[in-house]
Amino acid sequence: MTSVGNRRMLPFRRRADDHLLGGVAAGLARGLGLDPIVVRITFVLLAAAGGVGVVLYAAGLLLLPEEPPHQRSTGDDVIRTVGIAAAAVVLMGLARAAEVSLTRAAVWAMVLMAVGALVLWRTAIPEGGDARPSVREVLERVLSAGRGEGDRTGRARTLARIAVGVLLATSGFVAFVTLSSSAGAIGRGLLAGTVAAVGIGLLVGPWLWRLASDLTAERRERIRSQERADMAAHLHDSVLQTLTLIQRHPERSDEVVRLARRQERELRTWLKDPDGDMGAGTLTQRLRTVADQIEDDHGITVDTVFVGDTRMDEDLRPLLQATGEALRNAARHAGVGEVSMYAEVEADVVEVFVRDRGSGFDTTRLPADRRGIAESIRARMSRAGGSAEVRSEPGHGTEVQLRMPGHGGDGR
Amino acid sequence: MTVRVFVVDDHDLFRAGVKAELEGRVEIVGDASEVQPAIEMIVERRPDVALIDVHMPGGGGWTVVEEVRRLAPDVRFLALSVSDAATDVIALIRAGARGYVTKNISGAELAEAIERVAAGDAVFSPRLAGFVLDAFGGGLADTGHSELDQLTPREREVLRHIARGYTYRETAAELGISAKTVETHVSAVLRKLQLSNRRELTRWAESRRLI
Repeated sequence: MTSVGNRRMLPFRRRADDHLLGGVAAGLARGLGLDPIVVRITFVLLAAAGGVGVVLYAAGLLLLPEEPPHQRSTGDDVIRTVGIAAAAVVLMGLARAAEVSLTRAAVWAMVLMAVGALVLWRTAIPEGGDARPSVREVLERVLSAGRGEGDRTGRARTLARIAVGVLLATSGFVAFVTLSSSAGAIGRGLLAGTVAAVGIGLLVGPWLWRLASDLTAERRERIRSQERADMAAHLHDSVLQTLTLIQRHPERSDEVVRLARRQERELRTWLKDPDGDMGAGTLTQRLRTVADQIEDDHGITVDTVFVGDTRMDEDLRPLLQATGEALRNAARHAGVGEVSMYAEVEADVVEVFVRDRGSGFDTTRLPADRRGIAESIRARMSRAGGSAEVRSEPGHGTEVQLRMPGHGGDGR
Repeated sequence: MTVRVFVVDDHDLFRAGVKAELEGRVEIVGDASEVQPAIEMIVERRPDVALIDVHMPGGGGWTVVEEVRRLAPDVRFLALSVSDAATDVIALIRAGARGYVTKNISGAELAEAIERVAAGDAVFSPRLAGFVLDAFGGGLADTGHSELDQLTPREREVLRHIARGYTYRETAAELGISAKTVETHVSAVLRKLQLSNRRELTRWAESRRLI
């Protein structure tokens, strides 16, 4: 488009940036206001038809001055040129198969069709990678009145291109079918049908392709906005509610911590699994629920680390209860705000460790009320075929170790 | 000699909090809230340790780690994050961070972690130890993996204690080895975590376009 203003006495310059060989075709195309690909294919066909194209190209290489670079990629053109050449080969093959002898005139008719198709194609898909306008935009450019000067020129250009493309393609098609006179009636009919189908495909294909990709993009956008709405709804129900509660009672610090902690937990769970359908009924999920309950009841934080997982079943219930008991003990007696829980599911054993860095106690001289709880953990585990060990030292915290053998984990 | 520390985090409040907590324990040489300024300032000021958040506008913490390690390889990174997603943590470690701790860590613990990273050791939070055990799961029964792709029984033992909430010193006492040996094991695990081609790690790394 910039070429219009740049025209001088001799409008032809070889393009230094936009070239497959020497930039002759691109330069000529620009001077003539054509697509480089049209000129390129013309050169190729001229070269094939007796080598004239080669001589002309060489002359252009020698005579035309080089133009300063301009940013534009040639990748698309290469692909398109190869595509058109392949289509031409297929057409010739088809013609031969249909026992149609191709006269030189018929070949030229094919060239006409190809060039027409190219022009239309190029109009539908403008150059450049991602900045391709949608079908609607192209149609708008064609149909609606442009607002600015540039728009009007663009619109006229697009219309002209479409008209020229259709004209070339149609006349090529008619000429081709008429000129392939040596074939029999059936062969000619077959050929006409094939050529028409290929031609329509070539003409309409890019537009259909564009339409399809537009529809996909639109659907993706719709799904995305749906997801946004879901997230907004969730945040509104949860986080905003909690923040409101916190603002209403800022003086009750323990309650604020509890609310914040509960909200954090909920948000983390939701971030990991928005639909809540993952890991329902697994051991680690149940352990986390137990920990949540303790956090809520006692206003402490339980840091959980899980390795591996297994489906929750009745055999594991005592482990769950013992873990809850150990956590409750830590919350009541350790005198610290934080307790760690570590659960590891291995092929032949499940282990849970509950540890605090609190006051601890002398395991050989337990106060009466504590001994009962320690026993209840131990007794519960051994009844279920597992074991429990309580390790503690005054001033160094407590760790409860729970083991439940013979329970295969199913994957990590 | 005090350790020179740089803080990268996109939350102003959090940066202020960290700086206040570390006051007097380390020397804060600067802070940044965005990826590009962070890279430039860290390269210019050469702190011993940079604290780095996982989630950052404009590229994520691992971008900073990768870029700085290219330009100033002597700067060490400690990841500090609220995120407990395995992908985030592993991404930062694989980018080159020497440790990971969560943001609820106390000031004293953080200062200790920083000193450990400055000394060239690795710092694993219980959660990171859990991730590693999970990712390297199966362990010995898993044949066909290279040495980098599995943990030795000793390394697994060390990691299990860290996951249970034991400090390095407590772990050492428990296993009857020296604290230095524990550090050696953890550093070896960190190296495996960074270099291993284990499927799970590769998948995580791929999801972050790290390889």
